[in-house]
Amino acid sequence: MKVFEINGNTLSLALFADVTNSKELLDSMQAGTLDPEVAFLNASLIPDVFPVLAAAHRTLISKSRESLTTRTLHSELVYNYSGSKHITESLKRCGISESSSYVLAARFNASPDEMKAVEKLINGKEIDLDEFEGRADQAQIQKHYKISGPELGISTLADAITCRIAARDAL
Amino acid sequence: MKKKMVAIGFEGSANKIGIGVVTLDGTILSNPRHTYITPPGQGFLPRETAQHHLQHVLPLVKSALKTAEITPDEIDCICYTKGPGMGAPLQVSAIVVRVLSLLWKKPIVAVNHCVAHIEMGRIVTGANDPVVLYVSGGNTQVIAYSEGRYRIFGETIDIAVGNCLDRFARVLTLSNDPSPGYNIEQLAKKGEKFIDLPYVVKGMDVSFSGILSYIEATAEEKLKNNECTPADLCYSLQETLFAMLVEITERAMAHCDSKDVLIVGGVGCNERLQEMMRIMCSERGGRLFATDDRYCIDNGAMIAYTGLLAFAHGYSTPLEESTFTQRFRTDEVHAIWREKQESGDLGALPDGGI
Amino acid sequence: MEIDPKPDSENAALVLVKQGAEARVFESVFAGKRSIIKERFSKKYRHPTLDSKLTLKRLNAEARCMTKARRLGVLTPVLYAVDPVIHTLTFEYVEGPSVKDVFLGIGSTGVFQERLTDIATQIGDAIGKLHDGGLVHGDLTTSNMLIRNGTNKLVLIDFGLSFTSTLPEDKAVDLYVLERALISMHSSCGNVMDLILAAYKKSSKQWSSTLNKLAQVRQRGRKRTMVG
Repeated sequence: MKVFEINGNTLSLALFADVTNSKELLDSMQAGTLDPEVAFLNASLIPDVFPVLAAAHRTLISKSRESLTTRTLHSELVYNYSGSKHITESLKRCGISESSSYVLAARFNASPDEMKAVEKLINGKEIDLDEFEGRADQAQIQKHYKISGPELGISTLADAITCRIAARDAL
Repeated sequence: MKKKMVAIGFEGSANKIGIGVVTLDGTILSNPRHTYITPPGQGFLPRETAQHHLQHVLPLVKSALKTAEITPDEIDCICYTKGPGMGAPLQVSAIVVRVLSLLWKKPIVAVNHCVAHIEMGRIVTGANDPVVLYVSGGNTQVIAYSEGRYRIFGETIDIAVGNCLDRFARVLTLSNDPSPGYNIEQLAKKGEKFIDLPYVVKGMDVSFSGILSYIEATAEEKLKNNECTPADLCYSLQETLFAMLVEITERAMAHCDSKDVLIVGGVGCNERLQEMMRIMCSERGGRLFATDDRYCIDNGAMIAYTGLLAFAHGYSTPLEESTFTQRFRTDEVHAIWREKQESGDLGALPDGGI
Repeated sequence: MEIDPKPDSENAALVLVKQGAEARVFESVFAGKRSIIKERFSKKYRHPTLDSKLTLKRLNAEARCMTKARRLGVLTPVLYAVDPVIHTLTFEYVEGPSVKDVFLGIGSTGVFQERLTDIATQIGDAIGKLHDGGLVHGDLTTSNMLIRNGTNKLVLIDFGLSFTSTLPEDKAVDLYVLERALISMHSSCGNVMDLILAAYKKSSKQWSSTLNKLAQVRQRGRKRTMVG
């Protein structure tokens, strides 16, 4: 687990491999009974923590202006990470599915107790955030973010994703 | 004691014929001019304009000498506009100057019209090394002095701003008296509604032809449907064109690290343009230097003064080279007087006119 | 629980780096990384309607085009955030001098022809890629090009006047603007533009129609009648 500070708020991140209860997590999320509220991201699409922080930054700005596009602060983080304007599609691709086994849990301004509760929700092995790079699915990332060969010649996957997150509404 | 050097200058590159008598310190002894004014909705054509100049040139010479209270004997050199401009009207000054040179036995100095605007602006306002916005019916340039020449940093890539205004005045059939641009300016003061027009800045260059075609194409329809008034259109056109000009001037200032601006040329009389430029300059901690219609509009004194500057630094144009040219870029001129002013070096003498 | 050592909230004060004509540029820290914030401000000389239209248009154009350039394989700073409400862009801090400063140093510090050729080649190559991808920079000057320390790679900045176009005319004017900037600012650097165009020809598949147009655009500049 690691805590990042963004614009006077914190974002706590915990990364899990070999998760076995994704269906359960998905059900309680859809029923709105997750306690505490938390974002689950498809970690295969995350080659580095930085784009997640860029998405979190966007999310906090929208929240401060009361202009969230999705229902909750945490679904907004998943939506923003996708770099796409299509809400349903974004939540599906960048969130978790019933079969997800590699998951990033994220919560804004979490107390240590709340993060302990989050860790208890997930049946899996918590691993270090350093594992992002090695475990990322490059093909899936390139497909989702439409990253071409010429771009990869000059850019990392993480930078390419960050640009798409930042420029989404300017397109 | 030797008396001050005196020059007479002839300007006739467009629809004005003007003759001025000046001394080297910039004192204007006389500066009469006559403008060829066409009916509303019409521009001036070369042949008729040249005829107009021929009709007025000799009375103007007499009046210039009389007001200045000098005789041809006291004149040091005869200066004229070599270009750029319209061929036939340019020819009038070139020929009159050749004749007078032989008659009075005085040397000739050929002058670049654009450089003359700049030098007149500098001496009248006291601006030492400004970024110059030169805006008239035929020119739109952002100029700064560097290494012996007035370099063009930005310019229009199609029509001049004055041409754009004049042609729109024709669409509205505004009067050409005293000038179409002046009448647009007066009408614009009554405008209230801002109409969105294309805005085309490319680096330090601007383009006006797209704006003109857009406003020409939509004006009639908009006026017919009472969407706006002719005043609104003039107002919006001025706001858009001038914002573009101020923007590229500011870019040039940032590029050459300069704080002051001098506006010259006929469109430079426009008070709204001056106001916008003044706001921009004051935000940068700089000053705006602008002149009124006595100097902004083409006149003989600016030609006389610039020619005299070059003459005082040893330059004159041989009779057989005293030709005219429609195309004569500002950066072709070697500004020897500024080199000597700044470094004291003897520069190579320029070829083909000052 | 560990706390990230580089918080970027209160203690990362903004440092003004440059006061430009249209924007203020600050140095800051974004999610732990050194960054640049470019804030476009309103110009008081402009009509308010025109002003807000231009400010927003250029903010979005810059975000869109600097990321599109990267998709075409041309280095630009990584975009971190866009804020249309306060008119800011936040992007990567690129360490290195501008090409303008490198070129101006040629006389005094004796920059080698080799370095000049390398930079000119990178410029031509980058513009060729942009143009073939239908992207026109719109403000190609040597101030808008950086050379990254360490790698010596060219990084293009300032995409506020950029737009998409496939017309040879627009591409030619893009090159013409650069050519004029080189003549007015770097006349002592010799044939830089020739080197740039040579690299452009290698990089752009459509070079021939663009360069033909460039010849016309140059003529237009010189031969305009320019009636006083």
